[in-house]
Amino acid sequence: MSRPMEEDANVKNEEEEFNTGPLSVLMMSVKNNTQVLINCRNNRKLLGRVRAFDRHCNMVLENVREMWTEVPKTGKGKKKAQPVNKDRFISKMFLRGDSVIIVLRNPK
Amino acid sequence: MLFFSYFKDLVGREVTVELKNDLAIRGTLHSVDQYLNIKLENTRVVDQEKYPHLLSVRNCFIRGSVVRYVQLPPEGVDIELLHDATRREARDG
Repeated sequence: MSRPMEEDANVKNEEEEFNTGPLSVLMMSVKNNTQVLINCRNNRKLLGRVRAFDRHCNMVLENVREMWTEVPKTGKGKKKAQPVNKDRFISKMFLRGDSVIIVLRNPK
Repeated sequence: MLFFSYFKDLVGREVTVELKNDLAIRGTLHSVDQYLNIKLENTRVVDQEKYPHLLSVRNCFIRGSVVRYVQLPPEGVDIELLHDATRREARDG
């Protein structure tokens, strides 16, 4: 991890990578305090601000609304369950990067 | 390394770890390692009726790879510190 060798003319250092590459979506949320929508592997969506991230997409998120949909599990026993939208609020959380499917920037 | 340092600073605080199998465990963060494996003390399962098999467990080791979320104490995040650390991590790789 020696910096002189890393900042070779042909090799972008990781900060530039974070600023211009795919993870710039996360970098923008950190810098501009904007929200992102994360589609998570538990099939839930997380809407919140990114406070910190790393190359694995591990993140600390703030003011997160977690949204998902459930079926009430055949309350009547006759398989008449309608999917219901649910959500919960989490003020501060760490998200492990391997649960991330996609990160969407908030449309202006 | 960024989040490893962050969790080391959080040792002693109460957190809720939600695992990939949907189990949620509340406990005091005892220790963490470079893989973000977690040791919790004074653990209680969050939804007791739904997951009765861990009722008597008070201390546990959680492999980092099975963690989905860690819910942090509301006063637990020093934003500026994390923000600077993110930039430093980006710079140093």
